[in-house]
Amino acid sequence: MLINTEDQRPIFIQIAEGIEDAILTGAYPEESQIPSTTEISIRYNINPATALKGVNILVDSGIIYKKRGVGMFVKAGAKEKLQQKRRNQFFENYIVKLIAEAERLGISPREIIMMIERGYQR
Amino acid sequence: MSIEITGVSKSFGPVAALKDVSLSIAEGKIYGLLGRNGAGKSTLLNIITNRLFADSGTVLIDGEPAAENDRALGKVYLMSEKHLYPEGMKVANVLKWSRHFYPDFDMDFALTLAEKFGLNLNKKVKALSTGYSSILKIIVSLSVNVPYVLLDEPVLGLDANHRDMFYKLLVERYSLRPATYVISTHLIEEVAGIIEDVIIIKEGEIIRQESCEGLMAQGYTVSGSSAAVDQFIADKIVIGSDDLGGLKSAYILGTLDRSAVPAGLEITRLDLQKLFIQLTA
Amino acid sequence: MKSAMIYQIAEMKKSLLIYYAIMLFLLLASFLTTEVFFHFSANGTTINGIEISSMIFIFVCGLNSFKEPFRMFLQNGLSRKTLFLSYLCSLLPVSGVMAIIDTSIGAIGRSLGSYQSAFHEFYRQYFPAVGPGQVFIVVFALSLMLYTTSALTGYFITSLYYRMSKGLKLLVSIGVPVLLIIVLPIVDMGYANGAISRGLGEIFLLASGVKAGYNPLYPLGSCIILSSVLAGLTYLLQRRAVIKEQV
Repeated sequence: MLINTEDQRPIFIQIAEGIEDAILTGAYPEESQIPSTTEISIRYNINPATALKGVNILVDSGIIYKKRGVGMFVKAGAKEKLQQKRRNQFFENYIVKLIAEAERLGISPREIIMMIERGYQR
Repeated sequence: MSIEITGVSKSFGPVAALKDVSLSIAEGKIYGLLGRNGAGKSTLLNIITNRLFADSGTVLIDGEPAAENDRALGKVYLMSEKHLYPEGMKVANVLKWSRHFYPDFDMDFALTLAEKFGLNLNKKVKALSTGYSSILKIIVSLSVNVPYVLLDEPVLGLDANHRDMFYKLLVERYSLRPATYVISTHLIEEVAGIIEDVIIIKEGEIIRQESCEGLMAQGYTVSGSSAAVDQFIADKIVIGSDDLGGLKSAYILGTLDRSAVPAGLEITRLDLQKLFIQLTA
Repeated sequence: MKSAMIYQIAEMKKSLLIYYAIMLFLLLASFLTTEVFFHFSANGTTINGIEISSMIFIFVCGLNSFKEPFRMFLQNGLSRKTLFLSYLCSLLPVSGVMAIIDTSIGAIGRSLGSYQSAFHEFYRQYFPAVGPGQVFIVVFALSLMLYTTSALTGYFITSLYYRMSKGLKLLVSIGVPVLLIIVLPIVDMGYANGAISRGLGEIFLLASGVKAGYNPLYPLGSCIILSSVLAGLTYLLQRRAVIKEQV
């Protein structure tokens, strides 16, 4: 998980997304414990309140739950939930940008499709 | 529970150091107190802690007047750029007397830190280098366990490793035992991540006082070719810009409409340090 | 408040121990030389008491008792009120201890023969009329008050100088001695025909009890009055003292 200080989006959002990424890649399996807000804030040199804000987003969306006195855990079914959410965002986050860059460089849709196929063959 | 500063003004002869300053410092938050040299940061901190007298205005600590009030003052700890310990006092005694005067002082923690930083307990205060003087000040500030800890330039003279240690220790301490820490510093980039609220002083007046996140979200940076940038910013509130040859970065106040950003322009967040420079120029 | 007093006393203790170590050494040395080696008491040689040097010592102590504790107290969140009161409350016991020690040395010395305390000598005429126990108490009380007054004089002066601007400091440092040593005698002799010095002399004789038949109760009272005045003025000075960072 990397915090990009240049990124326009607030840090707490980046924290939330970083944890989501880790859940999706399997780095944080379901029902496993994730680092505490203290650990997160120390690791990234950020205000604990900010880390808490990021984590709470995930609690509110049902990705994480808190076990009192123990810590925070990945909820069962979180991975699937996130995959669904990311799928919905995939078009906006990747396709649109890809097309914008392709247009900048003068790459035709045909060429894009060929490049995608080539990418999968690797 | 908070420190309430209302209408504080202070002049030194003809120079007005603070002009009608009003501020609220809540409990359990990390604040960044930013200002250029001579802006009034130290004067403000000294008035809060009864070292200087304000010409007018009041300071209340948890509802009680701070001036000449031992009980209220016992809740605040100021570590100024120049500490006030007797020159000939040994480090070990500085810690001993701190515990004496502050019953909640965590001596074990202080000694652990001294070892971690390599601070010689037998050295006299006047024999410490700038760096180790700062280390001593940091150790006392982190061990004193009062609700409001004010730090004036805490990392003066510290090498990069020790600075990193300090920020990590601060965050850790704050997580374990939430208290208010007000960090007054010139190293804005380093503290930008750990502060929750920011207070900006310019020429004796408070010009910004809000959450760091909130302040940064008020605008954005747009970068690209000068021509493209100029066209984009024509109808926007520009608080400053940097030019380098044909490239330009402009700092905008206002909400970003991503869909309206033309290709070729890059959007990044406002940099706290750059924002500060623009606001206090 | 208690911790404040402990700090003040701790600071004074250091210098105190050194002082008495030196004093005892000197006393022992002179005692040994005069009595053991030369048997002078038979010829009426006397050694003067340590009261005067104690007064000077504690005066100097007073001069050094403001700046460092002031800064230390500010650093540790204590008010100027506490600073001042803790000093007073620490000064009295310390003066008391010094007075007891010095008076005891006087009593012992006298019984050994060659020692005369300054006060005893001065108020000789008063003493025969009272018993030895009362002598001890009177000398003790007088020493106590004189030491307290000396310390407060030093304390007052250092507080005054701290509050004064550079220009004022210069003015006072030069002006006061000039006034007393040069101007006053000239005015006195030239215009008042010695009335001023006579007046001052009268006041001194009264305050020191000489006029009332060498009664030591008078200087006791004078000291109490003087101490109170000095203490009050000092507090007024300290009340508005502020930190001077560039030190």
